[in-house]
Amino acid sequence: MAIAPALTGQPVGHRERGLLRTLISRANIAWVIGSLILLSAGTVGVIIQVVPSLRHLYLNQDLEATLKPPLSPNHLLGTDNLGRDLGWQLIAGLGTSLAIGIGVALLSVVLGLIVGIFGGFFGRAADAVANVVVDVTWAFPAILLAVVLAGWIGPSLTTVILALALTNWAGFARIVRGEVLSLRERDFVNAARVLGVPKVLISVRHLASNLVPVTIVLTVYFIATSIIGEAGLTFLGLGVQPPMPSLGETLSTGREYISESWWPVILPGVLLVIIVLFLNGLGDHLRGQLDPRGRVQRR
Amino acid sequence: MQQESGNINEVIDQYAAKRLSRRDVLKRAGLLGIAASAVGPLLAACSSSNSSGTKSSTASGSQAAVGTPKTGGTFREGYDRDFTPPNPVANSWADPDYNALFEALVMRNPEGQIVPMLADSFTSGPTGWTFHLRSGLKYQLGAPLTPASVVEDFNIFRNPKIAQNPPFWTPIYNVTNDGQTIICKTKGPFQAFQETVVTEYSYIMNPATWKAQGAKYGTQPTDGTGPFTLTSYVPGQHVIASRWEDYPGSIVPFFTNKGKAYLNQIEWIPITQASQRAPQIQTGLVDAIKNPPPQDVATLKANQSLVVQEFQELSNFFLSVNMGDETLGFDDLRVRQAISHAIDRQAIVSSIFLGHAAATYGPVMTRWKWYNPAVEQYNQYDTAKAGQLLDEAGWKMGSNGVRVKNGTPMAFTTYNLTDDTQNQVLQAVSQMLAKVGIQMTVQSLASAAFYPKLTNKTTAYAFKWLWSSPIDVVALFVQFYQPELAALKPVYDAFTAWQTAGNTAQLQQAAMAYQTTFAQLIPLIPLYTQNTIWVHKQNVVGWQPNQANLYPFYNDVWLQNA
Amino acid sequence: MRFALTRLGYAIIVIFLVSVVTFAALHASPGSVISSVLNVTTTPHSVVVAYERSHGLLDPLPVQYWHFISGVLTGNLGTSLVSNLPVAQIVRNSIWYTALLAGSAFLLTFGLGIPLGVLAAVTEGSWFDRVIRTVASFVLAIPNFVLAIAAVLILAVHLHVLPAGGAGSFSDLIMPAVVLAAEPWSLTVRVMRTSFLEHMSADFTRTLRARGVPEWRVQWLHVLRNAAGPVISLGILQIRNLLAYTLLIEVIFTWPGLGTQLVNSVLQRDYNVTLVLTLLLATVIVLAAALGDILLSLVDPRVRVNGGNP
Repeated sequence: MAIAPALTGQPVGHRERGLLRTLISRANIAWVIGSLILLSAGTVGVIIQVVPSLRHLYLNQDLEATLKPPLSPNHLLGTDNLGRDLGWQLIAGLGTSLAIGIGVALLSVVLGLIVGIFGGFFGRAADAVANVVVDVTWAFPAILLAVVLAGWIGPSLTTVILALALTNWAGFARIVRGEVLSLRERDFVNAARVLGVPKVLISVRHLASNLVPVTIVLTVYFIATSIIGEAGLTFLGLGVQPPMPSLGETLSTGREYISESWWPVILPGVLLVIIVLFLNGLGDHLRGQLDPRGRVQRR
Repeated sequence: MQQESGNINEVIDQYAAKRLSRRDVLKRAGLLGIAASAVGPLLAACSSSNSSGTKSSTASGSQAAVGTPKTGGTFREGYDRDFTPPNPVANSWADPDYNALFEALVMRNPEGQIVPMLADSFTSGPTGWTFHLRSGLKYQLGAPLTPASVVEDFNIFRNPKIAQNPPFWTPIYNVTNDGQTIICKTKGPFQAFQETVVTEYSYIMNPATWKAQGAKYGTQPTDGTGPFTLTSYVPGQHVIASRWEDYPGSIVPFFTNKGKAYLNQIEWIPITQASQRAPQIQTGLVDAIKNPPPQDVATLKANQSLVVQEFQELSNFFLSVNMGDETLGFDDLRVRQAISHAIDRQAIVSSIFLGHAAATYGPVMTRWKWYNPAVEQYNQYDTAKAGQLLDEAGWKMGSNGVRVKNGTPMAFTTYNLTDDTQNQVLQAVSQMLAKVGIQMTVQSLASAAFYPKLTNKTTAYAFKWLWSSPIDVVALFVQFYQPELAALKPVYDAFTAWQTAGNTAQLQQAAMAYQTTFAQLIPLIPLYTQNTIWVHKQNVVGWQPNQANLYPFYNDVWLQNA
Repeated sequence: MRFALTRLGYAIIVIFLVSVVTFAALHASPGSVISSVLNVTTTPHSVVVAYERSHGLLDPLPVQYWHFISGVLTGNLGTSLVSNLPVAQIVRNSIWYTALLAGSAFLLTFGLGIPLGVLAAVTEGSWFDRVIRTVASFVLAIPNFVLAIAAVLILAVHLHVLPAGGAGSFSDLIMPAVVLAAEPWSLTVRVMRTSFLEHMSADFTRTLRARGVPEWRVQWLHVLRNAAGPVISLGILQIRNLLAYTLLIEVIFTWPGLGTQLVNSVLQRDYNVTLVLTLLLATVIVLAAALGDILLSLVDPRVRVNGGNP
């Protein structure tokens, strides 16, 4: 019966097997492995940036061995214009990208959930306010925000995360709001309200937990777009500053030497494409598993 | 019997004549028992051509014999920066349009000597300078070029409340005219003025127009005296100047064209992305470019339809740390020396600039007429010494690779104006410093954000100045961006000696003394001077960048297909 | 009708708020327009102040904002603080280039996307269909600036087929337009194909066929008209993305459009130009969204109740 779950406090629609078990199952094994590879590479990339004794791997420049092609001795993927090992630069850059991607996704999701639920569930006035905030953010050119933020706190990791998150969350908020609008008419929610459960509690328990599948799918897409966004911002000079490695920065500097050495440009580009392909595919696949009604549009 | 036995100079000569590649040189040097690190400077010096200002003798399509000059056409010149309003009084960077729009009283010829321009004669002595203005001259908008207006210009230029270069005028206490003669009075000899009066910020403009236009000056016709007038100023896109039909002609000895300009128009186009410069001249979008990136130079030199000129630029890129900062120890000479010793300038020159630059151990460029080679005993690359100096100064290596003193890590941020090549150099420097335990991060900013950060309290910044009078400009940076300190007294005194030098010989002496004092105290840590590379299409004639002036003049320029 | 009016009114409020936020953000961030023109340390303070005063930069912020907004509403867009040119002129020059680029990309997207999507649907399962789908997926995955750089590398640097930048001739337009169109094209193809397939087997087509209407008419007239719906709403959503990407592509190819102009003016803190350009972009985005909602409301009455966000 519909009321019983509301009384017992379990979110409606929870799967028999639990979310985690759904995700990590035999059918998904390829995606799981892929995600693990990506995560481990990214973690390695972060570790070598954070542990001082490992930094030399990607920072060690050799001004006499600049722009060596791939398959040179000691440098599997070649070196960049300052003689640094391109392979380690890419891994470190991947670490930066993933860290940014996850940071942006989390921030966007949290903001989007808060504003979306606020607008969808807390009355017409709240809805009006939420709509205005969302629409103003939506129309704001991201590049402008990035430059302003870069001017304020200086171009850096934080600037990139903030700039990307603050332009991303609005889209998510819209979807959440739409979802909440339909969820709130459902019996279990009405029952909870009739029983006097405070709105905030309903939001957290029922609404948010029903939004988990959508959130997961969108988070994956967000990570992909943020990785691209970060590379783009760094390309324009507004992103992370050297010596922090970044795929966008390797691409951007590589462009200068494009006539003699293709590897500083093509290799980070290929890596970006692979990551994005993978994440998009993962998102599509998760959508098939968690969101069969197709509430989520990828763009 | 091998040709190369015994003589590295012959090897270098063959390299200069393009008969050997760099790799060959290094190989043969090795056979001669000479280390690669010693060959490096020789190769670098080779790439910057001889100082006489003539075209460098490269096999790069030298100008074919041409006929008589034709009038007409638009000369499209690519520039390596974006433009600022041409305003001799208050401006952040002098651009090439100055030479088309204005003229000075006197000018430097390509050999560096002072020759007449608006003034047909001049004197200098222990009581000051005089300039005899030519008669019958006019400003571009029609007003007569009177001696009184020149006097007014000079009084504007030396007024600390109005202009930006008064420090270069301080010995002059009075400017008047007596008929056509402008008289600048000083209390003692002021030979150094010859270096100031020829620069862009002393170019003659109509002071009445300048006052009337106020903050808009430089964005509309500037009423100067040059062979062209400003007709369009659109930063980011182009600056256009058109021939001034009533140009009274020129008496400058090294101009072959003594009358009106040949070109109808000049269009300067900013190409801020370095990688775009070579493609744009190769595809014919522009007729000339300045400073393609080093890795594109070889392709351009091999292109027979282009003429490439390369010589040392009138510039220096330096790193400055605030000598008033006691927390980071920058007030301690040993710390500054350590920073300087930790930097391998030669490696930067050969790898980032591919030899198209020169390492500088003193404040001025190595091919300046009064360069003092004695500066090279200072600031040489020596990481052991750097570490030793830091230890002596109390900075001990910490566990995470960064030196610490009294709990403060040696970590700081350097600001820099966004520039692709300079960013790379600073990255390389940052790594070199990390090796001795100094953590330097770099922030590259656009000019709107960079200049406000530049004060005499800024912890660290890096900058490339471009100016034909190096002692003046270096002293300016010390004056404005370092706090006034007793430790700097030798530098202040050396500048005073320069400003009060009695004749050219004394001037030269003062310049050389200034350099050694500077290299010892390093209020600015000089890094390198790049070569400036000018490329033009074969159909452009008379465009002669030279080593004595920042930019070429336009009186002689004409297009063969006009 | 009432919905349309309220929706437009709401759009105007949003645009107004964007202008306020932009103004506040610009003035709150450090750096000053003067530094784009003068060296503020060596220039005497009185000169800097005179410069600021003459450009109205010393007025209190609300006054400055009022000057700006009242100017915009009366058609006076002000002058650039850096070059003293009328902002209207700057906008007009760059708008032409951006419109050219975006327009070409749009043409490519729909001109190639719709027919290819239909063809793929019609030949469903064939090698042609599979090729189109694979190409679309692949192209979709490549970030467009990566595509741009790869294109420059291959076509400009190595093959010397197309120029690497600038806007002098028609051939300069090809690479940026193709790169810009890549992502929306692949989305259009996919959506068109899916939508067409859905409608091809719908009831009404069977009726049409039973009545003897020739197959090609069924497909190209009736099915297409119905299937085009989602493609069109997707197109409107794409406008925002297109504008955002145009900025990046313009900078890469040094295409002198609004994007390059906006980036330059923000970096130079040229408030007047930045504000007008941002307002322009925001207006386009917001009006496009409003238009989309209005169109949708004509089709789906529920939208009017829910306030427009699907």
